[in-house]
Amino acid sequence: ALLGIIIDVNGAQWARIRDQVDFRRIISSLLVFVNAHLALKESNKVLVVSCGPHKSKILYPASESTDSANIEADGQMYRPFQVVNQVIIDAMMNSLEESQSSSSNSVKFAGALSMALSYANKLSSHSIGHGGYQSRILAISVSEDEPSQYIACMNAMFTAQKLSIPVDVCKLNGNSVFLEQIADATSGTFLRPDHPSGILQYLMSVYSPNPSIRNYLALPSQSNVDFRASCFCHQKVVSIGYVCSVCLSVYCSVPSTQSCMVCGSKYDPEEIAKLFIKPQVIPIKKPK
Amino acid sequence: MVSAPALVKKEPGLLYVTETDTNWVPDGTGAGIFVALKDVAALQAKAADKKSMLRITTSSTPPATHTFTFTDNQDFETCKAALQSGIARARAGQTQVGGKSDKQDEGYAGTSDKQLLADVALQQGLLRNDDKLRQMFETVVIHGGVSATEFWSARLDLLRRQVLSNTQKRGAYNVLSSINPATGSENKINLSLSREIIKDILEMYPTVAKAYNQNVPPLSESDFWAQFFASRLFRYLRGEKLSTSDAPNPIFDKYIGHSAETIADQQPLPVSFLYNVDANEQDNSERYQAATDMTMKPDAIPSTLPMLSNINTLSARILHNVSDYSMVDPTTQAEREDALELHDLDIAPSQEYLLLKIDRAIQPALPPANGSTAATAPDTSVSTVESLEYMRKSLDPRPSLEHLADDNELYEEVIASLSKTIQARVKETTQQRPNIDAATLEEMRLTHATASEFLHHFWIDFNSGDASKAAELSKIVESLTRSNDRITAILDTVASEQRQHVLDGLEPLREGIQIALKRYQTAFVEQRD
Repeated sequence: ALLGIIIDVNGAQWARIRDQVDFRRIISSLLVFVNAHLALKESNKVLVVSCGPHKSKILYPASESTDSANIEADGQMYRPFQVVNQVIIDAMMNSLEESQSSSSNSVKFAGALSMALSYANKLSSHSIGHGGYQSRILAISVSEDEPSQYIACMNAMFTAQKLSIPVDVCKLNGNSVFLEQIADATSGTFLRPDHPSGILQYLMSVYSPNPSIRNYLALPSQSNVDFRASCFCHQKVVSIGYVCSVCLSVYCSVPSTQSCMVCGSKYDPEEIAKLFIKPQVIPIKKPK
Repeated sequence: MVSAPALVKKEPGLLYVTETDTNWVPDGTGAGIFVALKDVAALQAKAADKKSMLRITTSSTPPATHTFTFTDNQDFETCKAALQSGIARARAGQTQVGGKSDKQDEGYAGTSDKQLLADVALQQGLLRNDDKLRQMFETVVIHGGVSATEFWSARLDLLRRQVLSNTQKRGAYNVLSSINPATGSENKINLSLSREIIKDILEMYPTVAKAYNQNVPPLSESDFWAQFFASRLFRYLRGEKLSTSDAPNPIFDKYIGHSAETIADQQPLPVSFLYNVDANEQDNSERYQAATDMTMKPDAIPSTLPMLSNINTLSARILHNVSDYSMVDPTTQAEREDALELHDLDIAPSQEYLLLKIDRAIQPALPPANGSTAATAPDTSVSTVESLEYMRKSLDPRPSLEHLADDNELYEEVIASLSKTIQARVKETTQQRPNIDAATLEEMRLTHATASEFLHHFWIDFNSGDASKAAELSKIVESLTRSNDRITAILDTVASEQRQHVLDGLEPLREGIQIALKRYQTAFVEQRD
């Protein structure tokens, strides 16, 4: 089974909540969670992706071969775990410079999710076991939504749905309608922890079950999901609107050019005119 | 297509009648006559002994008349019949063709939208069989304002389904296996045979037909059948094993063994050389070492063989009798040879995708409005340097994992809050049905269904902008207000502890009605001014 972790590294957002949540504590809890997953079964695998305001990067497994001889032996810890932890920390440290920007409170989530999904796909196509390869993704997020990411996020969401990979979300800060929808559509668990410092307990009890046994467990997922989309022209949240029949992009009103802003398909002027017909409610009196 | 010799103005020629037109070609030189059947305005016929005449008047301007004289009455009758049916068909087709939208309605064998809507018998039949539908019809059409056409135009699928299931015929089947002699008391066997079954038996089993033809004048029908069903022949034809315990019947037993006739005897089929076993018989290895299975040997008649060949011939005969089944192999020679080729190493054709040009550079023209998903104004409370510093500091002395599990109290709190959430979720999902009594429930259901129906037609008419529907629209509005009153009435009469549940059920409906009524009012006021 694969555990994919997408960790939000938007420093500005983390810094804003540093009084309630300590990033250090989150990272250590995360490492314990990773070790636990690896310890459960010989064939378990882990993928860690960092997701920043400008780009995402795979932290573990490392792309450059790590020289494990460099890692000094620590008598207290099981060596393979030590290697894993060190690789994650070092890779995250190296990627920090590029990922900071104070003017952004959102991250490019779609890219990170796509990376995780392709890794999961690769593993499952290489696996020879019966019963299919089980994967799940956990996203730890502190940022808001980026409206321009809507299409990409929705595509990634449908891919995860197709591959039956649940995407769990642990939201420590910020509002994200996209993440709510993604968790709901992929049957993942969306949670806003009341006690963020106790995140290890949350990880161990809520986020550890495999997809196959989730059907039998009652998980504390958020049930009121805001399914509204935001329109593409004004980024307003719409509950009733217009949808392009070609690319399925959402509009709050008919585009003035009578063609779709995203895919450029032209609409039939007659049909558009039909949308604006004035209702006739008074019967015409026939002249006697 | 029908053709017959006919004379036009004393000129001999041949008259052809096809499904769509009729054509007269003279024997010698001369102009022929061609009339498309849909242009025919009138057909007159006069039958005489050797000079029967058919006169066709076309609907072109000016109308042309053609007279065909037949010497043979039989020809005259066939041509007349063919022309009449052709003209009738052309006329029916004509009323449907007209207007762009009708072409799309053209359904399968008489199920176009117009025909369904006009078929009152079909609609009455549906209403008779379905109580709920009839109730809905009465409330909505008879008491409410919706016209019957509108009602059915929302239910075209129902009508079409009914027509299709009515026109389905029952196919051929193995008759004898469906006849089961039921042993009654005192060893008497009761059996019911209908005319149809007898006809099917005689058709399916030529052996029985032969026996029937030879024996029935002396024997009576009922005797014949009684003896037949008790005989070994019957069991033989059903494919059951014949044991010596069956009563031998002198009449029928001589027919056993005759039913090894194959369908190949009746009509030779064109079979491709690729799998024509007979033709390839010289070219096989079975002659030497590998003999065929005992049932496959052409001359073996072991006791189980009749059953297999019986069932096979019967199935083949049934299939053969089905009108549109063709025993000719539809695949071409090229296709068959291609199937034998190995395609493993072929280059797979590359996928062609439709190119969808997405404009990634959409920038909203206006600044993003306030909404939960809009990116709020950048919060500059934390500078880049600061955030970078914070992150670095969190990672640099490596986070120690040692004492993470020490905060037991904190974790207890977490578990407590999780349990509360879980319990709330569980209660939500396993909520019991509120017990509203059956009468109120039925009323609610009826009101809801009819009000939804009214709303549906209201919005169709309202948005169509069709002024002629305005009168109907006002009647629908009256019905909607009546439904609204009915909802309030239900709420008043129900007991207080159930009131909340009933309200939960009917509240969305009430909102919908109110929205519709408000839109109607605003449109009314607007149009008036």
